[in-house]
Amino acid sequence: MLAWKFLAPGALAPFTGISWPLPGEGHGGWVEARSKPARGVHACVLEDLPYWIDQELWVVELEGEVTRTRRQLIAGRGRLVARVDEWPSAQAEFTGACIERTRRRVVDALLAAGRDGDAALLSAPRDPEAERQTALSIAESGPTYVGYVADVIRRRPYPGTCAYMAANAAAAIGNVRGHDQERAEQAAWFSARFRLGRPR
Amino acid sequence: MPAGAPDLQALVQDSPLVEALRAGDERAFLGLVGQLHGAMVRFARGFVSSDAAAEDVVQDAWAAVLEGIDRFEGRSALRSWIFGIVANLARTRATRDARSVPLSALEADDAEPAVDPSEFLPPSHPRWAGHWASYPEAWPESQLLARETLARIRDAIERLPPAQRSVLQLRDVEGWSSQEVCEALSLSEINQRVLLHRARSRVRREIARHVQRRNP
Amino acid sequence: MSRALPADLVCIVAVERVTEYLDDVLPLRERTEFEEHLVTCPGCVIYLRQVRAQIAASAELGRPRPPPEEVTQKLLDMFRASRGG
Repeated sequence: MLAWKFLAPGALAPFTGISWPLPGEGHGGWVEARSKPARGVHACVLEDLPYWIDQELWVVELEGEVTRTRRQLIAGRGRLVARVDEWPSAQAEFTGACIERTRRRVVDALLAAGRDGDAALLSAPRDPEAERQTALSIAESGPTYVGYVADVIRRRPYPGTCAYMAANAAAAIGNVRGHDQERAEQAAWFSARFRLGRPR
Repeated sequence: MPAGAPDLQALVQDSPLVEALRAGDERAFLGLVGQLHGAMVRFARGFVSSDAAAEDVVQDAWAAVLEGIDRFEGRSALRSWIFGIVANLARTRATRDARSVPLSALEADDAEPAVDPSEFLPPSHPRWAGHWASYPEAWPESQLLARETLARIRDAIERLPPAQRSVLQLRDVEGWSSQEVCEALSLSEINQRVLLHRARSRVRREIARHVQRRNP
Repeated sequence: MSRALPADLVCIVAVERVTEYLDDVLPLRERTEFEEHLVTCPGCVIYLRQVRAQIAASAELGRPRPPPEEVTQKLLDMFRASRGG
C-alpha cells in the first residue's frame, strides 16, 4: 500500500538517522524493519500527516504486515516512491494557514463572548509583530486563548510547532472536538495543496 | 533469549580468550591487560581516595582474576566478571581506608530532576506550563570535543556519587552495554538506568555551565 | 494551567524519558509519544542532541591506556607464577 512519510533533509529518518535509499527508476531500495517487534518501518496516513511534519514529504510504498497504531502505520518494509517537491518551499503557506485559522477561531470566540472590542483589535490588519503584541496584551486581562495567536506567529519558522500550537488553540476554545477539527483542516491543507488524493 | 541471559555474542568471543589464559598464553594475557587495565584503574578510582589506591586495587584484581580464571563459568561476559571483582575490592578498600562517606554518596532518595525546573515555564503559565521557557542553545561540536571541555567533563564525572559514577563510566566512557554493566555491578536494569540518567544529568549541567561561560 | 491535551507530553516530563529513549527501552506507545513531541518542540530536539553530543564526548575519555612498563612486567610475572606454579 502507499502512504506518506516525512523525513529530515537528505531523506534521513528524523529519529533513527538512517538514510533512506533514494528512488532510482520509480522507487528506492527497500528498508526492512529491524528484528524487535516494535521496530517496524514507520509511515502515516493522510489524516496523521500534521503530527509528523518535517522538511521532506515523501510518498512511500509499504509491504508486509501493516499495523495502524495511534497516528502511525508500522510495516515490515517500505521504500520511497516519490518526493512531494513543493513541500519545503510551501511551508510558509502552511504556517500562514495555521495562523489564519487560529486568528479566525479566536476572533469568533471573542465575538461569541461579547468581547467585540477585542475581536476588532485582533482583526485589524497589522504586521505580525504588532499582531503578536496585541494578542498578548488582550490575553493579559482577557481570555487566555487569545495568547495562542501570539504563539503561532512566534513559532512560524517551525511548522511542526506552529501546527501543534494551532491545535492547542483550537482545543482551548473547542476542546477535543476543536482540536481534532484543526488537525483535520491541517491534513486537508496538505491534501488539497499537493493533490495527495487517496493511497492506492 | 530469556531476559538477563548473557549476550551470546560476548560469550562466543570470550571463550577462546579464556581458554588461552588458562593455557598460559602470555600474549593473550598482555592483550587483555592492554585493553582493560586503564579502564579498570579509572573505574576503581571512583571508589577509593587516591590514584595509588586505585592502582593497588587493580593489581589485586588481576591476581584474583588469575586465581579464579579456571573456575570462571562464563555465565557473564569476561570483562563484566573482571570489573565485578574490581568493584568488590575497591569497595572493601574504601571501607578499610575509612574514607568518610560524602553526603553525595547518600543517594537513597535522590529524586533530583534531570533539568533545573526553572528552565521550564511554571505551572501558573496560562498556555505552556512545563514547556521550555526558552529553547536550549545548540552546543557546537568542536567546542564539546575541545580539551578544556573534555577536562571539565572528566571533572564532573569524578565528582559524581560513586554508584552514578560507576555506571556512567562503564556505559558512556567505556561504551559498555546496559546488560554488561548490570552484570558487573549487580544492578537491576532499571536501577542501572536511573543511575545513568541522574549521572548524565549532573554532567550535562556542568557542560551547560561551561559552554554558557564561553559563549555569553 | 496547561492547556495541552491530557495525552500530550510536556518538555519537563519529556527530558526525564531521554535516557530510556536512547536505550530504546520505551514501550511503543511511549516512544511514539516522545517522537510526536519532538516534532512539536525544537527545544527538546536540541536537548536530545546535547545528550548525544555529551555521550560522544564522554567516549573520548575512554581511550585504552596501557599500564606503565613496570606494572606490565609485574602482571606478567604474576601470570607466569599462576600458570607455571
